[in-house]
Amino acid sequence: MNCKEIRGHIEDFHYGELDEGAAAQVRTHLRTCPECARALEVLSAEDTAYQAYSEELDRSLEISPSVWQKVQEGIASPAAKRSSRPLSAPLAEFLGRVFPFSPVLRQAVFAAMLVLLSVGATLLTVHYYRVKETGLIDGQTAGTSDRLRRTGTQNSLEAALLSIQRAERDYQDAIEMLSRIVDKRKPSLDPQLLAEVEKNLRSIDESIAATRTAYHAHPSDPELAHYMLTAYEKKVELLLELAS
Amino acid sequence: MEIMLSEVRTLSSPKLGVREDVQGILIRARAGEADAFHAIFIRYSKPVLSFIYSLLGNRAQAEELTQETFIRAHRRLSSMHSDSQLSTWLFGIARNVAREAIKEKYRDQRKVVLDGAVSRTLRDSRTGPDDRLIAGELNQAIYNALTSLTEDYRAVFVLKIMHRMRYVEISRITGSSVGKLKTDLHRARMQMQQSLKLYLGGETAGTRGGS
Repeated sequence: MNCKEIRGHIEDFHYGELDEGAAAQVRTHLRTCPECARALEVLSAEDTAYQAYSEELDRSLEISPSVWQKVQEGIASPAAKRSSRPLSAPLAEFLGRVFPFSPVLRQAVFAAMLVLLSVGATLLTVHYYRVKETGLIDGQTAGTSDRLRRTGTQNSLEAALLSIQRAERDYQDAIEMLSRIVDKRKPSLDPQLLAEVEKNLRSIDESIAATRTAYHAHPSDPELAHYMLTAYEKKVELLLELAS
Repeated sequence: MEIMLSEVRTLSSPKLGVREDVQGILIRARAGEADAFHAIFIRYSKPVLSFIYSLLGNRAQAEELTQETFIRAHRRLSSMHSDSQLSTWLFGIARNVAREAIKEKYRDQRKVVLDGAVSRTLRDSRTGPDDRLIAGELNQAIYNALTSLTEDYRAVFVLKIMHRMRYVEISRITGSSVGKLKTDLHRARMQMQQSLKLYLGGETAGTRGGS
């Protein structure tokens, strides 16, 4: 390379942007050409001044705490959240105060709360159904009034079954939502903890599968419904713990 | 301010108090976890502020636009390409935010000039450097020289010389080809040399123009 070619490459050489072959040629030339070596020195001196300016700026510029606060306000503003806000604003604000977590986690907690409420109602219904069922057995020999009672009991049974179905769906939805969050967090979890968690989740899944099979084979058995919903509940609890 | 962006692989997580993989933090930030996005803010807000300040020369506006950069980044996290580098992606947003502010300012000033209320040029209206920020005569002169560069020249000069990014990273941020960036940087450097000849000894490196 002659001086003109070297000068055309000297900035790239200075910034380490030349490939090794070209950089070696520039180095060789610089050893024998004082003028080009001087050009590189001037370039370095200029950059030293610019770097000093940059460092001075860096030392002087501090991020005030209000910047992050305003970023948070901007993120939480209605315009920012309009497109993805499944919960009503007052409810979300209430949950924000009660559960100071991230919005997604708050939704998951909210879903889990709904499931627990739903299951509470279901278990009450199941209990009511069991009482009525006992009544039916006791009154098997009765006449018209007992037939009316039998109809009422049939309605209670259907209501109980529907309630159980709803609870199962709610659990499945909550598990799906929480699993997505937990899956995303898995890379940041301790490998040993993760292995233990996955072992527990597998065990719960087996329980869910077994109790579900048993319940669907005997849908009128409230005990089996209770066992199945309890297995679902355990999974929700574990996922919730991991997500929070 | 050297960032060495390509070498950053972990960030401090305020919640966990430990260094966490950038990808892990990104995944958690995308899932809506505030502490993960806060970790990104802590790591990159100062370089972003410095970059915007260098483009605009106004501390208060630079802070405001840094906020806007991170608000936009949060909204766009889910659409961030998995191959993108977090730092260059953030600087790209910052560059756009700053450009919009410059255009808006220019429009406002044109309007003022056309209205005849105040006749002033864009150059005259630039906010001067804050004395507390940039001490020393040479630094003041560098600040002035920087503000005299065109927007494109200033961007490549700041990213290459002050933030020491590679051309390929600057290309992702600005959308310009590496060839254009090299030409712009060379011309920016020549202009800076001209503006600062009293301070830099009047000697130029004479790059790309030697014998």
